[in-house]
Amino acid sequence: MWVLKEQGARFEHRADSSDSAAGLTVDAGEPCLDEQSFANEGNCVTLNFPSSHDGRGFSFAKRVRRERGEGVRIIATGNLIPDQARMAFQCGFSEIHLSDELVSRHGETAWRAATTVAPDALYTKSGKAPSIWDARHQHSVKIKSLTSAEAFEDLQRSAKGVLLDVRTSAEWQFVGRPAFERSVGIQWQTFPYASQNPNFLDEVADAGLTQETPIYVLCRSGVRSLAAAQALKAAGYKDLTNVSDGFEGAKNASGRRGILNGWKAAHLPWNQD
Amino acid sequence: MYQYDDHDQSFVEARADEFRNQVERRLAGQLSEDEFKPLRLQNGLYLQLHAYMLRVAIPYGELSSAQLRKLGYIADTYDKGYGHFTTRQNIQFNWPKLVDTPDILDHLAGVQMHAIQTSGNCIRNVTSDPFAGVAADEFIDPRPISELMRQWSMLHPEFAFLPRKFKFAVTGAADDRAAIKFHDIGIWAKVDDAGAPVFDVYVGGGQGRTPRVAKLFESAVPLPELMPLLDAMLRVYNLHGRRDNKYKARIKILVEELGLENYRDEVKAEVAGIDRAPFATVEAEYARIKDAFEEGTPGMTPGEPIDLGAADPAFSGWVKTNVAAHRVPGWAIAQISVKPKGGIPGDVTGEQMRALADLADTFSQGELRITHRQNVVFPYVKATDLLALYQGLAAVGLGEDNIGEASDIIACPGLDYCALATARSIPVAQELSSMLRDREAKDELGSISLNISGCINACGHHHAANIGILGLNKAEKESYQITLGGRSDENAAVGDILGPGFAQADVPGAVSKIIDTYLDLRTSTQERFPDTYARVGKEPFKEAVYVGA
Repeated sequence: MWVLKEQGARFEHRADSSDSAAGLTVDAGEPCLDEQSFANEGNCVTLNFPSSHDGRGFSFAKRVRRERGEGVRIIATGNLIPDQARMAFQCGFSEIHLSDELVSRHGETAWRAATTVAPDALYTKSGKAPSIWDARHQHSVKIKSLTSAEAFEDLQRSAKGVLLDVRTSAEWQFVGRPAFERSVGIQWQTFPYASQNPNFLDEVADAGLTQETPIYVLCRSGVRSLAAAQALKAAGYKDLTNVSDGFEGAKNASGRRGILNGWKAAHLPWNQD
Repeated sequence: MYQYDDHDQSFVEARADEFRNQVERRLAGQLSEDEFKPLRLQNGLYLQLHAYMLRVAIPYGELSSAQLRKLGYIADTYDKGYGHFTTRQNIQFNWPKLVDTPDILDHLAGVQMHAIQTSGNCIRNVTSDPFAGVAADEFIDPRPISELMRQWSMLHPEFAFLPRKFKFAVTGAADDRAAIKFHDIGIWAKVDDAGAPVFDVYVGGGQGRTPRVAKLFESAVPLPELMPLLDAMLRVYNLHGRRDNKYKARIKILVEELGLENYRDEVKAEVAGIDRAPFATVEAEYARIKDAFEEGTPGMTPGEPIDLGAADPAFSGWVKTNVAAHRVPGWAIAQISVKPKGGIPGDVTGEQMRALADLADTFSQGELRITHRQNVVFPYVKATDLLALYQGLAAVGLGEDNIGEASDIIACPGLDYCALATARSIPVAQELSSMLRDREAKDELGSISLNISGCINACGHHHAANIGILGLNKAEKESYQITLGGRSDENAAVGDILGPGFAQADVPGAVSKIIDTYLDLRTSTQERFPDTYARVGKEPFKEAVYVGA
């Protein structure tokens, strides 16, 4: 069994398929659930799609999500096609459980790409997907998210993009820093006390970055950089990208960084002071 | 007209890329034909008798000259030099190859067009009044709400796999030229006392094998309430509409089986708890779209009407049938008939498309409309330019003066192209058109609607016609059933079956007798066919056709 999660960002094979019909299992065609049906079923509902032509499950999930809130797990199973993964997540499903047969026939690539080849924003907000109407009228800036490899590719193509490394001076010195011409190091937190750098915005401006500069924010593993990007957004910067896996990436099973993902693990150019 | 911004543009480009990916996966065998079918349908791609058919969306029928030129290029490059205007104000091409369709979608995206949701069990292209924005009898321009609904319905994740197709029509005028009561949901836009837009919502209309006139669901719905209401109406339909039998899957059957009151109660319960955040910007977006339409409307200085007294009779005849009243004095709405004598209704050549585009640039500010009766409208013509326009049209075979007359026939492609058809429509339409053109020249028939469908699915809108013709297959032979008294205007009605069907060769004779009977029985030349029919009933017609033979 395969599990597709987090708007398609996570996709993994599980040897154990006992979880494939977790909680309350209902056919997508059945009428909506009442309080009682959830009370005994651990706040989880699995909706079965009898056929990829039958879209009742989408409306059903929308109702369950609205009535039960963000806490409930809503799982799609049955006969979905990759092109419906986007719809499922936008309608409130949190997971899609797929048979090995469906994954091998459509190919892992098709499932992984399912939520990215379609238009990334709809007109009306649905689920977590961004909305064109909101973008037009809330004048809100969206912080994009790219892996270090994708960000590096973008940076090489762009003539203006700047890589903003917000780690501490100690990290630059001891862990290394990206070898890229248009990169700037400005600490978000200062070493050794991890207190916020009060001059962060001033230093960014002093480094020559304008509100229109495409800025790619990098830290160790994507957390501080997001906070920094949010501060930049609040200050009026418009073209912001968070490098989601950072310089060293997440820890692997043995607790070590720099192996699983991140700038270093992706074999992008770097050097040490 | 509405112009795409960057968001609209990247949306259609991304959609074209997505379809390219889907076609590649189909060709590689990853997607089965059964899985691919709804995906290609949602990009307007049908598998017909001889080839694929691609239906391109013309939202609410509005088109620029540049877009029409591109459609002409597609007709010449990927089809056999033709395009076919449809009853949903769209255009379809009958011969594209599957592998070429992603390229065609790229061409379309380049001129702010797409084929999204022009077929399949999803929300279809929103249709509207072809006179929108210029009609003399308009309360409110229906295009801004139509465009808002187009955006809302585009790739709506919840409603891409409905029990069956779902059609919206919107009008904003006293006369309903959009046949809203023959739609799953029809919307009649009006203004309230304070000048704000409000919407009467009708539900459960449709044609096919169970024709129904839509019922009033709610009147005077304010703008901020409309979109949540439509979401809720669709959600209840998606959850409860029948999926066991495709002929009972439209919302008209759900409304009938549940009863309008119960359906309304369900929808009200749904809308009460609906998440309103997604619609928080609806009013701002409506205002933005409205401004965009107003910016695209040319300044029109009122002028004098033209004097037809000494005009060439061919020209004055064309003005009488083909020109409609404009909201600005001295301006005209010119309707261009795509129903030449003996021709195929709605068919235009690539060359004619380019000629129409050039004429629209010269005489209609580069803008035109496609009507659900498969004709073309120029919305911004100076009355003093009408003669030059008429001459330009006549030169390319588009000067027919029969708008609204019996020979202005709606016909589906029928058995010549369609995989669902049970009988041919086109040859019947061609024969009737020749016969009726001759009669129109002699007798003063006035306005009569005559529509032909090649099967029970009623794509040719025969139920809604004054004289409807339905082609069936009875004992391996084509048989044509006639219905009388249907109408698609604000007094919408479904036609009554006259009696047993006719062989193809006998159809023109039967129609001729029906017209003789009408001419005999009408109280004056002002009494329209459906009014005469309503007054005298079916019997005299039946007698003339079946007994008088």
